[in-house]
Amino acid sequence: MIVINKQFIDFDKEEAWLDDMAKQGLNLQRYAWGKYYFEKCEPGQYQYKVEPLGTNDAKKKQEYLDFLQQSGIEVVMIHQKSRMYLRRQAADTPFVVHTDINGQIQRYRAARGLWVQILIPMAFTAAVLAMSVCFTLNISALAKGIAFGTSAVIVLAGVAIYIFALLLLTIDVLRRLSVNNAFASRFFGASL
Amino acid sequence: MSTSENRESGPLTEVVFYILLALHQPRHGYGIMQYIEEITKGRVVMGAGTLYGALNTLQKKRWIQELDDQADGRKKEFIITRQGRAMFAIEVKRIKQLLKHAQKITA
Repeated sequence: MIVINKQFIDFDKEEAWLDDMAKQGLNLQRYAWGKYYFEKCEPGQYQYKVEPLGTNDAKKKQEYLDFLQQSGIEVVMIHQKSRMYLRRQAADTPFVVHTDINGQIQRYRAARGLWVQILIPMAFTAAVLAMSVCFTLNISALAKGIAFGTSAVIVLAGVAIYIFALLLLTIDVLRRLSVNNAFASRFFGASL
Repeated sequence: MSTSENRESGPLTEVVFYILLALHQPRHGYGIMQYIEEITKGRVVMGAGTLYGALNTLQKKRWIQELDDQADGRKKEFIITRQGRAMFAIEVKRIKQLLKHAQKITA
């Protein structure tokens, strides 16, 4: 067993790396919080895929997993009930699970980094809380003003960063899918 | 999973068209993928995730259904319904018309 510490916020890069490892004879066995556990095997045995699970319903989840398995796809492991590592016997064709554009978009959206999904909304909430707390503290008006102003700036910056991050991610998805403008406007409408 | 296959009427997507065609006889998911890849000589390739979403959508619309007698228990088999056949027939008629119009000008 070989353990490698690595962080990815991009499914595609993660997959490319896992495929590369497989070509060197290291097959992913397990993943947990930035730790990848590999097993030494014959080189080039598998192709890997990182996919969101898409649903929280336990029954549907199992149904989907069964379906994938019946289609010749092996579920290596599921991380945190949301992300799964899949593999199949290596073939000449690329290993694609979602061939439709909507499915591909959903996949990229699910791959949005933790920082967009959790950290920025968290920082935002904290700043709003700080703002309201300012008014309950027994301090001078000037101090209140300064504290409030600082919080407000943080909130605005948070919102700006959040929107900017979404925009970057959207552009990135569009670039990867290389879709046309009509589609782009639809996607922007849906995502922002 | 929201896909363009959600449309109630109008032209079928190629994915839906071939799934309905494949299900004129009972097939399980992998069988559908293989069949479509085979008859289109690899032009139409469907990922398992995409097929799964499309099968769910078609089931909801009652164009296909799960087969009652699941022989080996685990591999779910599907078959087209009467309603599915009707929709498929409408689509074939539409495509025939397209072809006729095209041939009038170009043939």
